[in-house]
Amino acid sequence: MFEQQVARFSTSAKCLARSRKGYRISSSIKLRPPIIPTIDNIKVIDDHPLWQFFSHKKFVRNPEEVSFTGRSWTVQELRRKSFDDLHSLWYVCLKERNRLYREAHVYDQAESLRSQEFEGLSAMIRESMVHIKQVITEREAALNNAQAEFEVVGNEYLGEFRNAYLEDQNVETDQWYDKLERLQYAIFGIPDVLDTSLKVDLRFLEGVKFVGQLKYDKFASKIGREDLGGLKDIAEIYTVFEESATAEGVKEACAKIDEYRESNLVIPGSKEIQVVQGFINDKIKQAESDFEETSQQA
Amino acid sequence: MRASQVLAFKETAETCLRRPWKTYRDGTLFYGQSKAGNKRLPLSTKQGNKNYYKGTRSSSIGKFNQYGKYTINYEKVRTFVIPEDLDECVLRPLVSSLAPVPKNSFKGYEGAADGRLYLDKVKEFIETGKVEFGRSETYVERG
Amino acid sequence: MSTKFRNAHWLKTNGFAPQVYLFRNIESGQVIYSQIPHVNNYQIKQQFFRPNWENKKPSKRRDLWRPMAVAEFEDYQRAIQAYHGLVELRYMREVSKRKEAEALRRRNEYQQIWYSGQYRPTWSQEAASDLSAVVDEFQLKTKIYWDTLWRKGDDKRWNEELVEHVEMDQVSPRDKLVVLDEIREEGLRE
Repeated sequence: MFEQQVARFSTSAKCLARSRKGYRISSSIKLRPPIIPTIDNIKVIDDHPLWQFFSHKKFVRNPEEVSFTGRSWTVQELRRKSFDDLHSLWYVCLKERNRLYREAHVYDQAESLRSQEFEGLSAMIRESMVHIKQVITEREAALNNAQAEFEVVGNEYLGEFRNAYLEDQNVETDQWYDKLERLQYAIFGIPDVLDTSLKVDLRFLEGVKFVGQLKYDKFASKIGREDLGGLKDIAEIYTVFEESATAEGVKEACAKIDEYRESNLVIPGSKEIQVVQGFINDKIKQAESDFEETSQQA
Repeated sequence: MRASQVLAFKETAETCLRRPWKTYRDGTLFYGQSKAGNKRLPLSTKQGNKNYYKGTRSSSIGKFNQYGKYTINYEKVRTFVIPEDLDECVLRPLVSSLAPVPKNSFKGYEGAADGRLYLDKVKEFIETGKVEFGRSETYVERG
Repeated sequence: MSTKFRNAHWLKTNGFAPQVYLFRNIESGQVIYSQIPHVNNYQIKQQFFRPNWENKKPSKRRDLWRPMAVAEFEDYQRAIQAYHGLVELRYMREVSKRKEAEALRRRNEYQQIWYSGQYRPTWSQEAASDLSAVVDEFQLKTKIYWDTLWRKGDDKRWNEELVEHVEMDQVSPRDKLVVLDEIREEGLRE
């Protein structure tokens, strides 16, 4: 009770108004009109991520701008595109549809029928996206089928390739080097440039064996190293695989094999993957340290 | 009370007379569920018994533990893998209608998903390197 | 806390800065003036005269009241003067000069105060305009922290010599009170 009275004394501006002139607002003041907020006070940075929902930073496009002549991507066209292209195209389409949805919504809210033109274009773009999905599904199915097919006819094809390579008089050409590289890549998934993310698997191992053996068989008699009596384990095959596909390269590999045979080691089949992975890691480390040295010298 | 029903208080005399047949912009009626008196309409999220969960066609991203705390399972959270060079992409969502549509023929093969076709393409790639596509209007390419 | 009027001495001894807080109800758009960074029943009783269906007495639900602006003055006496001025102007708009105020409000096609859902933007726009009127009337040097500069409106409505406009840090609604506390501390330092 007492508190309330005190509060009333201090709350009322009247008592203070009596003592000081101009403390209270004069009753003759004219009320001001409400202050309408303006967007002029807001500055949006140029690279604001939400600009992606706007076409050329316009609030909405005119329907005329949207209704240009064009058609969706056809499946036939998309079959030519790489996966990266399709991936990019998907997101290009998606972003454009987001823009169109926003603009259609604006027209919709204004009860304008022109939103239909935006929706029509969006439907056309959707067709493009459906076709992208179809092509990717097709490719996956084709890949699976091809892998199943390769189980059946793969050895035959590799045998043909092997015969062609062995029968050719001159294989120390750029054409054959490229062919070997493409074979490694397409059939066994061995990339041209090895990097740290590479994981050795059975398919990789098969490729190493096929190419290493091929090179040895081609050049062994030519350089007179048939005395080795064939390649005995994965370490030897990898040594040949690693060297270039020339007589010189195989000769060097054979010299290394000689050194290796002195240690009398034989790698069992169960350890092959580990060993090859070790070789590759060593090689990459070596290359990195070499690169650092040269860059420091420079 | 629905927001649209509040609007009913300020309608003109004419619209008041038309009310039962008038739908509002949000699709709701002045009263009732349907104009035809049909009661077999899809349930809304607010209808049904205590076990009725309509959902929003979105997947969960985690689960509640026994104390009611929600833990997010990041395996279930949607992620969008966007290509790094998307800004440099020159492809547009639509193609000019003047551009010729290439034709595919799968002569000797079952179709686009044929494994033999894929394998032959791989063999071709090994022999010749990259495959170039013809661009003329009459060119028929193998799938 | 501010369950009653607080004088300059109390504000000073309890660590409050010479500021007046404007809170906006996000449901209805109504604005409450407060001496300290909270909203409670005292202000609701004190500042809502003659409630009707368009201007209902708001609840004190904390989730509905968001800071709209914080006006900082030179000393406590002036802050109190401005606070009284704002309440007085509110009284004028609702009671003594109601007709004049009603004439300034935007109408809808049925001659009601314009609204969308439950929201009437005119309440917060009038609060901003009253703040500018108070500043001009008493010639108070003011620094106004706006939640968004959008509400500041046209620059012509403010006395350039007296008023300085600043934008609050943009944070989530949950952290708004933290920002208010930072502003209070800054006000004390000055």
